[in-house]
Amino acid sequence: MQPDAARQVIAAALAEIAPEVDLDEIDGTVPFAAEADLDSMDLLSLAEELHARTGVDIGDGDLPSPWSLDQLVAELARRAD
Amino acid sequence: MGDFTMPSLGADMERGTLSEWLVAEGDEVRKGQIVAVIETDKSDVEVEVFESGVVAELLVAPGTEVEVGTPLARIGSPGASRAGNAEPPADEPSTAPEPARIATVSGGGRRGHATAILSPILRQLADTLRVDPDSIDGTGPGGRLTRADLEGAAATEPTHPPTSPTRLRSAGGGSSPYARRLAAELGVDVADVSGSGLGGAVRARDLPERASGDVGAESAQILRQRSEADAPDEVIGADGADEPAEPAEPAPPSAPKKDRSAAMRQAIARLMTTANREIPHYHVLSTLDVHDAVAWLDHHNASHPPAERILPAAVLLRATALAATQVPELNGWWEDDAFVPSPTVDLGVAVSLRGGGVVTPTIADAGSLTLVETMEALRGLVARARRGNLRSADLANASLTVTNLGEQGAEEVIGVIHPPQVAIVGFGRPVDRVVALDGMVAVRPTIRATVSGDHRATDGHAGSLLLAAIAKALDHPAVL
Repeated sequence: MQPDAARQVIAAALAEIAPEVDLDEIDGTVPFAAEADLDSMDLLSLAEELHARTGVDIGDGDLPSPWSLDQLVAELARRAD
Repeated sequence: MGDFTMPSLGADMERGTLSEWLVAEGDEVRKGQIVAVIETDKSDVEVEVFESGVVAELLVAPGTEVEVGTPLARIGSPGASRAGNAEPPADEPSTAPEPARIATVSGGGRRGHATAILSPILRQLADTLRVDPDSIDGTGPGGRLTRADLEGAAATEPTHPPTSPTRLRSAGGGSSPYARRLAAELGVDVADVSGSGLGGAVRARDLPERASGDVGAESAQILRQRSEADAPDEVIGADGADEPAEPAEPAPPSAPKKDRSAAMRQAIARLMTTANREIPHYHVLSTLDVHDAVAWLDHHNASHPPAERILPAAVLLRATALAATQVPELNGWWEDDAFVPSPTVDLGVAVSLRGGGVVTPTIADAGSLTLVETMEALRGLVARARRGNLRSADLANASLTVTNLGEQGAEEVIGVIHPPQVAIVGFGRPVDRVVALDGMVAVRPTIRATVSGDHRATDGHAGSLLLAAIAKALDHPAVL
C-alpha cells in the first residue's frame, strides 16, 4: 500500500473514534497519542478499526513506544497489500 | 401499572430535565426498554422503564425540569388502553410544544406536507435510522409520517438519501463532540455548517472564528450530543452580534439549554464541597510492582486480535473489585451515621470525555465479572459515555469508585470520596522505577496506587488492606 493510501485509511479509522482530530494538523514526528489526545482505549479502537479495514493487526510490539503518526503510516503501508 | 418517575441518576442528582420521549402514548413498552432521554447537569442519559405495559399518559413535556421522583408518565396494563388509542391524539403533549422543525429546515420544494408535524420521538427515530423524513410519503392521518413509514424507509434505503448539503443533520456523518461543544459556545447550530470532515462531519475548524479565549484550556465540559440537535437555530453575524437565522421558527417551549459546562462544574462543586465538609479523609499509598501483570497482558494481547485485547485499566478494575470483596468495610455507603455494606461490588469508573469533562458511570456487580467481562463492560461504558448516551443502569449508585489516570496521566492521584461512598481508589500512570528486588537493584514497571478512606467508617488499616489485596491480585494476573 502506498503511504498516501495508508494515511487515508488511518484518517477514516480515526474519524470513527475522534472525529475532531485532523491528521493534516498533526505533527507526524512526535508521539501520536499525546499529539491527538488519545488514551489507551482510543488507541485500541484505532487498532481495531485498522484491522477491520485492512486485515493488518498492529500490536504493541510492532511499533516503538511511544510511536508517531509517520511511524504508523509507514508500518501500515509496509504490511498492507 | 404505575408511574414512570424521574430517576435518581447519581447520588448528587436532585433535578433532571426530560429532554425527549422515545415512546408515544399508546405504545407498548417492555421492562428495560429505553423510553426517554433525561438531561442532568452532567450528561444526557437514556432511561429504561422498569415495568412492562402501555404508555397511558405522558405527563411531562420535553424541556421540563422536575425533581427526582416526579411522575413523568403513567404506565397501564398491557392491552388496557390500546384499542381506544389506535391513533395518537392530535394534541399529544410530545408533539404540541415542538413545531415542525425538520420540515422548515429542509428547504422546501419537496413533500413538506408529510412532515408538517413531526414529533420529537419520530424526529429522533429519523435521526437514528438516518432517513430523511422529507423524502418519505406519510401514511398517517393527514399525510403525517408514522413510525412504520420511517422504519420502512430505513429498510428500503440502506444509504442516506441526498439531502440539502448545507442543512444535513449531524446524526449520520457526525460532528465531533468538540465541534459541537464549540458550536454551542458560539451559538451556532452544527446543522448550519458545511462539514469538511469525512462524510461531511463537522469539525472544529469548520466553525466561525472563535470570539475569544482558549476553549481547549477550559475546565470540565461535557458532550451535548442531543441537546445541540434541539437547540434553536442561530448564527453569529460577521460583527459578532446574534442574529436569528430563521425568525419564523418559534423557540422550543423550555428556556434555552443552560450552559452545561457551568452546570457540571456546579454539580461537581456541590458534591466535592459536601465530601470535604463532611468526610474526614485519610490517605494511604503504595507503589505496586506490575511487572507480572504487564507480562501477562503483553502475552495475552500478542496472541489476540484487537477486538479481544485487554487494557491495563481493566486489570486494575478487576483487581480492585476482587480486593473489595476481601475488604468489605470499604465497599458500601455512609448513611445516617452508620456504615451500610453493599452486597455487591458496584465499581464507579471515572471516564474522561474527549474535549474535557469527566463522568463516573458504574460497572454493576464487578466482583462477579471475569477479566474479559470486565474489559467488555469497560469498553461499553467508555463508548457510551463518550457518545453521550449513557443508560440509567450505567449510573446506578456505585459502592466504591476507581479513578485511573492512564498512560498519559500524572504519576499519582489522591481522590476525593464520592459521598455517600466511603472510599476511592486512585491509580497513576505506569512508570518504570528503580526498585529493590531480592536484594538487587532492578528497573520494574510500577503504578502508584492510593486509597482515600472515610475515617468515620474505617481507618488507614482498612485502606492498607485494600492496597495489599490489590497488589496480591496483580501478582497473580492469571487468576484474575
